[in-house]
Parts: sequence; structure tokens; C-alpha cells
Amino acid sequence: MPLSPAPSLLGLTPRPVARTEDGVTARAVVDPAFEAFPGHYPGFPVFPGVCLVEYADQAVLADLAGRGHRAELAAVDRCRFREPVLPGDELTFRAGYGQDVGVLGPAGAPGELRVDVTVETARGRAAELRLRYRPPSDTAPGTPPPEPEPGRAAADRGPAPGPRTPDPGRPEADGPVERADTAAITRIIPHRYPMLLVDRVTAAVPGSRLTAVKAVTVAEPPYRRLPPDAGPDAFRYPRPLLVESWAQAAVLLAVWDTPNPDVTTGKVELAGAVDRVVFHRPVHPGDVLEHHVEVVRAVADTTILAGRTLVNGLPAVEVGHFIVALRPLDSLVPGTPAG
Amino acid sequence: MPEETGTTLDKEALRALIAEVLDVDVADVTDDAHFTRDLGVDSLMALEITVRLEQEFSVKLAEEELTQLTTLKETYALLDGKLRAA
Repeated sequence: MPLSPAPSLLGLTPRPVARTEDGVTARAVVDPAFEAFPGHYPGFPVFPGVCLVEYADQAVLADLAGRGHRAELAAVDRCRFREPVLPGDELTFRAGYGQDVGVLGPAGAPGELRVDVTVETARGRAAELRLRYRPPSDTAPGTPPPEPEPGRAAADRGPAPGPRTPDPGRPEADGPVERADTAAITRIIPHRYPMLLVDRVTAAVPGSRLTAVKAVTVAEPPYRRLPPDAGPDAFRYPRPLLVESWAQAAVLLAVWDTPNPDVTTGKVELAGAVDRVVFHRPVHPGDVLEHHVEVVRAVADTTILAGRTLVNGLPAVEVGHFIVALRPLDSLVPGTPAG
Repeated sequence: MPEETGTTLDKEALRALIAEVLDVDVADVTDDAHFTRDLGVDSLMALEITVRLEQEFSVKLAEEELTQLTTLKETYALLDGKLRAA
């Protein structure tokens, strides 16, 4: 069965250069013309951390396919982003499999495959990722995207870890509820088209919690390169972008009272770490993401946040911890010591 | 009340917790290994250690106390003191 092409923001696949029994090494060059750069960020292009996850994901999926296994990203257990990745960087991904890839099936009870990935540039280690794969949930070709079943919603949801889900419109004792439309969002965070992935903040209690929405549409860049015969799987919204969209809601909360809409005059928002991200239901065009974010802890310019994303009231993504740091621009220019 | 309150802090459990947060071998977290110099801890990881300690031991660390989180020995001393005082 041919593999459906996965929608990608990147438009290119890392080139495998070496395969061993328990891993693969792949390389990719960060195209300075990458379409996300004008929006991430204007005046100072930084390769989004989630794109490293997407590159690694593609390298792993391609390698697994070459070994006869279909799989999907089940969880991002751990990401450490050490140094920013910049236009023109050559990236080397070294992925190591924690178990025999046969754990993915098809024989016997399929299990999960742990994959540890390091990402390096010419300047050194850029990131460490720990990913978890499972057999694809839509195994039958041509299966339409699952529709939410309201009657089963409560049972389906199960015990929901992560933050509570406050009623967006209900003021709570911990402070007044604020809101932001898209224009207001662009006065708080520096992300811009095509990498501004939050449409509206429906409720924000600064320093505490925030809910925001993003509508997913088939007109977004990841769907641009799909072939005409692309199957249903090809219209799944890329999982790294789900994380990016949630993370932007998290950054909105982190900098709500100290807006940082222009990195060239202020500081640069950088993801430092993302832990315990679990993917549940697939997301498709037409879905509205409802992000819920809470501050876990903030010290100086570093904030730890947690939360989840719901679609039609059902969990699509959970994020255990996300650490965002504001760093001075001059500490990030290559050749000068990183701050 | 948290069950750890008033009890003796298990140093080996603390060592294992820090090794897990830093994703290093437990053997690397010696009593005197310096988090920043020897184990590559940056300010983000320091904050992660803080949050994990607060969650695991139900304590609250003040910002000025965070500078004491330099080695396992110092972390143990800080935490043990707070738990005994609780």
C-alpha cells in the first residue's frame, strides 16, 4: 500500500545518509527562502523549534517506511532546544531506536517505539528530541476522518490530566478576564503570517491562564503541495503545527503584560523545552482548535506553562510542560557568545 | 498535608529525580557535581529542577533560594531544611 504523503510545512524531506540496524542519520539544509521565515520572526528569522520535530519526524517516518513499517507520532516525550537554528544551517539528525522496529507490528500486539534524536548544526548541538511512535490509528485506507460522537464524548474523554478547563466567559476570583482579537495578538507576540497560528484569545487572566482559538483551514501552507490523489490521511493537520499553535497561545500568556511584538527591538521568544506532549484525535481542515494554557511557574524571563488543545470538546493534544525564555537579540547572533 | 512533611528526605530518590530531569545517568549526579559546570544545566533546566522539586515535595522555593541549587549536596540541604521546618 502506498504511503499517503504527509502534509508538511517544510516542503522537503531530510535526506537519509546512513542507516544502521537501530537508527538513521539524515541531513537537511534550512532553506533561507523557507516560507515561514517572514513570519518567524520579521527582521530576525529563526527556524521554529517545532520544525525540527517535523524534520525529525519525517526522517524517522521515511526510514520506518523503508523498513516496511507504517507509524505515526504518538507523543513527544521530551525536547530540549539548546541553540537557535538559523537560515542556511545544515542540520544533521541522528535518530536511534529504543526497541526493535518490529514492535510496531504488524504481527502480534503492536507496541510503541521510542526514538531519541539529536540535531546538530555546524555550531554544535541544537536540540535533543525524544519521540514515541505507534502504528497509525487510521489503518484502513480511505477511512474518512472520525466524526465526534457527542453521546460518547464523556466516556471517550476519560480522566483528563492537565489543567482544568474553565468556562472562557466566566470571571474567576483570580483576576479580571481579558480578550484579544487578531490585531491585538500582533501587538503582544512577534509571530506573523504564515506562522501566526492563533486567531483569537477568548479569555486571559494574566499570570494565570488563557484560552485561545485557531481555525484550521485547507488553505494553509502545509496543504499546498499535496498531489491531486492525496488520501484522507494527507489532510491531517501536521502535529508539530498543533504544538506550535498551542505554544503561541502559551507565549501570549507568558508575555501578556510585557508585550514583545517586534524581536528586532526587544527580546526573542525561544522555546527552551517541550515535555510530555501526547497526541490524541487527528485534526483536519474545518476543525477549531481550543487551546487551554496555565502558568506553572515564572522566574524572570523564563516561564513554564502547561495545558491542552480540544477540538469539539475532545482532547487533541496535551502538553505537560513548555518552557519559553526571552533572550536578548544580541545574544543569539552567531559568533558571539550565547547568553 | 504532604506525606513527606517532617520525614527524612531520601537523598538517593533526590539524586534519581535530578538525573531524570537532566536526562543524565544517576551515576553522573555525584554529591558534588556542579549542575552548571559539570552537568550542563542552563537557566531553563534549573527552573525545571525547581518545578519538579516543588511538585514532588510540596514545597515552595523562593527566587533567592534557587541560587542554592548548585549541587546535589546543596539541593539536599536546602530541601531537607525546608521539609524539617514544615
